[in-house]
Amino acid sequence: MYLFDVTSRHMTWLAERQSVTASNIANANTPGYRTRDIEAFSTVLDAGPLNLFTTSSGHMQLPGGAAGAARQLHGANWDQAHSGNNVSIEKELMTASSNSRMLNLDISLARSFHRMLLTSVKVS
Amino acid sequence: MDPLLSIMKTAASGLQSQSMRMRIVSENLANLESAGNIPGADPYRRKIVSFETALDAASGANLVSVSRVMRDHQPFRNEFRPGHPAADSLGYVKMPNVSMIIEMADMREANRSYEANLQVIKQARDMISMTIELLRGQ
Repeated sequence: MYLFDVTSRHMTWLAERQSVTASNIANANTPGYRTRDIEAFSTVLDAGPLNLFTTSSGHMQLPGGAAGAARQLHGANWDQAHSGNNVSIEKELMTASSNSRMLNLDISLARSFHRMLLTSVKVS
Repeated sequence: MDPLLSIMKTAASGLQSQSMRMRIVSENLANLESAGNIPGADPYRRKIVSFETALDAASGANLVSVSRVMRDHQPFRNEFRPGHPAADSLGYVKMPNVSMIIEMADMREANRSYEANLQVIKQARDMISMTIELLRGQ
């Protein structure tokens, strides 16, 4: 059932990334705002969920892992305005549409895997 | 809070800020010729809108809001109109420091940002309905 886990985590990551992209687009005219992005999915997947440090048996872990913290994008972006804002609307819209496309792919994968499971149930 | 719902909130704050900007542009354009009516009176002074990032505590998203509406300190235009009630002793009238070209450019930019935010809302809506479709279409 590993595939369901991966697709579900990828979908969470995509939703998180889409939310950061929406913040970037909304702040496209805010002076001093720097473009943000979240950790790449492979990094998040390799690192596993970030667990809280427990020092007592009464401490509880949060369910699920963090989907990747938003951070400022380093390096050159497409745009740089005089006000210190470096959001490029075109680039953000491209990210948004690629997120949407990848979510579509995830959903198709999950659906076909689900169909596969159902087929095996029907046969037995 | 679900990230897909916080997208809606963020983009809505963007729409609100850009429409506020559009309102200020239309105020400036409407007052393009608003001079005073006593000699030497100051005419309408151009307004500028500035944005700031506002952190939404419920979702952790970076919303945007209009920080404040400021006044443009550029000097006024002087026009020679001896018959005008606001004309000074030399016949010059101080006209607002609004330039139609700049306002038009600002309007186009506000329009473009508004469209981008609208596009984000549409995309988020599609993503939500795609996820719901997963339940339905087996």
